[in-house]
Amino acid sequence: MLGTTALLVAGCGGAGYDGGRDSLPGPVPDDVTFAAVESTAVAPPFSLKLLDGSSLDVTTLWRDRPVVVFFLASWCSRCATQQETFKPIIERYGDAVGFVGVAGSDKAEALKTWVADHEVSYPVGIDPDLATWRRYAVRTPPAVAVVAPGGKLMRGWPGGATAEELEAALAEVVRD
Amino acid sequence: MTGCGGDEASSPAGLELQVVAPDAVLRELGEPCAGGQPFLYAHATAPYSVADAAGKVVVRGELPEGEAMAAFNHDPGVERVPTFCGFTVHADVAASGRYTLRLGESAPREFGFKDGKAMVVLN
Repeated sequence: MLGTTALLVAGCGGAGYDGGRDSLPGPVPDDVTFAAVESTAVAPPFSLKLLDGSSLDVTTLWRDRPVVVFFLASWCSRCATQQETFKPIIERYGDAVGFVGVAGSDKAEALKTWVADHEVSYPVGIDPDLATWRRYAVRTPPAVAVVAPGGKLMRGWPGGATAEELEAALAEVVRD
Repeated sequence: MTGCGGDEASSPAGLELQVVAPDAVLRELGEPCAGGQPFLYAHATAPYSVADAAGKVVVRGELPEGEAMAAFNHDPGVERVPTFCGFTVHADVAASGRYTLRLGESAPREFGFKDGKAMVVLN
């Protein structure tokens, strides 16, 4: 019953898709474990001011779960396609995988509209001076990076990731 | 493109202006694109204007989706190659005039048409 209520609330749009603190994932489910990854590259740590005005230290997200970092912009048409590829993955992995959106060269109001229109269920903020984009070598959106639990950079896709590519990367690390 | 000087229905093509963001981003040729850094201001829906030699704005419009074009005349044999992002717009203006494009953070760029076409490379 509780699950049904939560789905109904989340599915109504509006407050459910505001890119703010309320869209942070819950605790990692007890029955999920993670495999060690071979990468030696450390993901550049960063903080983000979310669309609701709160701050997020993204390292707290990838401390105990993999995180998909999505570099986007509200004016980027291909970002909508990328967001669509995320939806079934978000549904499948739930709180076992974190997602965060890092917008660049964007305005908060336009981004809020985009987040609501595309049913973005994870935290989103703007990288005001593109410092985080540069640290991840992002030249243009969309771009996607996957960070392993603990903060190792697993994969990055300039131009965006297909569902298959993203699923394969997450399957390497998530054991459920 | 919303021209001030003509009816697109009766002149669907007009003169062709290609606006190029020389961003050298790895893409597949022909894929939809927006300008990469430092040309992030060049993207679909970005407003631009074209003024004539007297400074009168003769065209206002929004950029369409860009299309990835080869940055170099060389085929490296891989799918993703260095590209520029090109935006093609049409203008109903006199072909013989000199014009100035204003777009985003780029300095105003002067251009003229030759054989009905012009190219402006952003800076």
